[in-house]
Amino acid sequence: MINWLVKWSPAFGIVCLIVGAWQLLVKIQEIPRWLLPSPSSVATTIYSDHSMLMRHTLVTLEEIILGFFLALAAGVILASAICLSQTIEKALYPFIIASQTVPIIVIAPMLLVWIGYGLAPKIIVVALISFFPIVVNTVDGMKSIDPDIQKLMRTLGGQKAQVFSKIMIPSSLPYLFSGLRVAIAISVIGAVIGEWVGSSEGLGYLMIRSKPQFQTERVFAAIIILSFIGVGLFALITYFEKVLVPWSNEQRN
Amino acid sequence: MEKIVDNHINIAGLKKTIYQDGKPLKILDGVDLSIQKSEVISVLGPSGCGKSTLLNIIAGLDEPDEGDININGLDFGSRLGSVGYMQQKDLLLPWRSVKDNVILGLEIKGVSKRQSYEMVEPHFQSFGLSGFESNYPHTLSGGMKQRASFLRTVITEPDILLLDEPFSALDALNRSRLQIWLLDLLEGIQRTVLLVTHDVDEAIMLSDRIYVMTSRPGRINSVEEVPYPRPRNREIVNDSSFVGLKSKILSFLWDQD
Repeated sequence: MINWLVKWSPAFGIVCLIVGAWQLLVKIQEIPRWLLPSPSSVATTIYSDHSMLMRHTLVTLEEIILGFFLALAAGVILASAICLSQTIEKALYPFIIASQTVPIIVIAPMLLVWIGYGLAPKIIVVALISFFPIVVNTVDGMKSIDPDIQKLMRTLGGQKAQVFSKIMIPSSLPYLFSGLRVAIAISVIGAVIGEWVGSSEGLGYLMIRSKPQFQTERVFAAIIILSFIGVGLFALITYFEKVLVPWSNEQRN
Repeated sequence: MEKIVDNHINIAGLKKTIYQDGKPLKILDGVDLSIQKSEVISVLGPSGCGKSTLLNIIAGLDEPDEGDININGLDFGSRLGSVGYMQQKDLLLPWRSVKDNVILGLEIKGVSKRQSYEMVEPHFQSFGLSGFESNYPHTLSGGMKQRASFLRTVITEPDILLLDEPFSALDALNRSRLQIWLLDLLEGIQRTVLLVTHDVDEAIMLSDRIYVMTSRPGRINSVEEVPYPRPRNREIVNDSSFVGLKSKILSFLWDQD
């Protein structure tokens, strides 16, 4: 624990600096609360509204996690198909890239029309923006195998399916995890966008409702919780990588 | 079960041309060589003489343009999986322990995991790997990695072993240690071996016959019989005939450029 605090002390230092400067600025300039609330008033709001905030947090967290797992499943399946068949690669890859150029903010309201209110459209929005880094990284990982290892597998009598299961899948794991780290960060954004276009709960909904009511503290409270979710899930993925892909760090060194 | 054949491996008039940027590049221009059963032969030659191409063809990874190649009666398609090919790099899979790395070939052939472990278990001692069975490759020394890679190649009992500069990545001390180790090991397993190397000492010490190749396009320049009976020991390097043979081979190699 002490080690952990020492390791991350620069980050804590920056947080203290920003929070301190912010608090000072609000006090000295007498900025009205609805324009920019002080950190202390945001903290007070988090404390006094914690049960309400918790309820919205759980909703958003559920959307993020379900959407993320959908992206993970879709991403790995697509990447495998792309690596196993050149025809599939040529057929699908352009569309996968094109899917990322369509602004999600345009797609999200349409999803609402097509599949309705509720959890499903949010999960899809999350999955839509977070599957991309997963596919791209996993494809790169599967294609990065040393040609000499391919040769080795052939001289040992290995078939294509064995090369895939014994070589391509394990060697793509470090790349997959890099993709997952990017994916988890943007899936937080996905959930918020999904809630903005139409919802009745969740942190994104809370932000969009609180702003016109000049409850700016709540907007900031939601932002802070979202950043904690992002950092927390990122750390969780890093932890899983260490457990599941122990060779990854050695390889990079 | 064993077929009695004089020439285990027979290669005659092997030619191969590859195309680089549309231009033909003659790699092999009529290579002949033969290996009897349980014989160790070396192929020596300057870089780029087509040794790797020759090995790829023997292993069944590549087909020659012209020439005959007979390996214990195996046709081209069935050579993959029957010819053991140890490449320069150890190519151990970083996500597998030593034990799981050496059974890779058995696993591919469909041998059960338990049976595979039983097959490799008795060899860890002689391969200097005992106590390291559960280690991951990155924790091993260069010599150990190479020995693990070698065990992975021989455990499937291939008809012939192709060794492509197996010690070139090691420092001089480890290299000579491993050469001596291989010398002892080959006495024990009686295997047909084709060793490709740059190292003249290594070639003389380990093999029964040495084929010296020309630079590209590769041809066999001379064939030298190595006169030492087996079992051999490391002392032969001090023999005057060893030095004579070495300088003869070196002069062939130096005349190339």
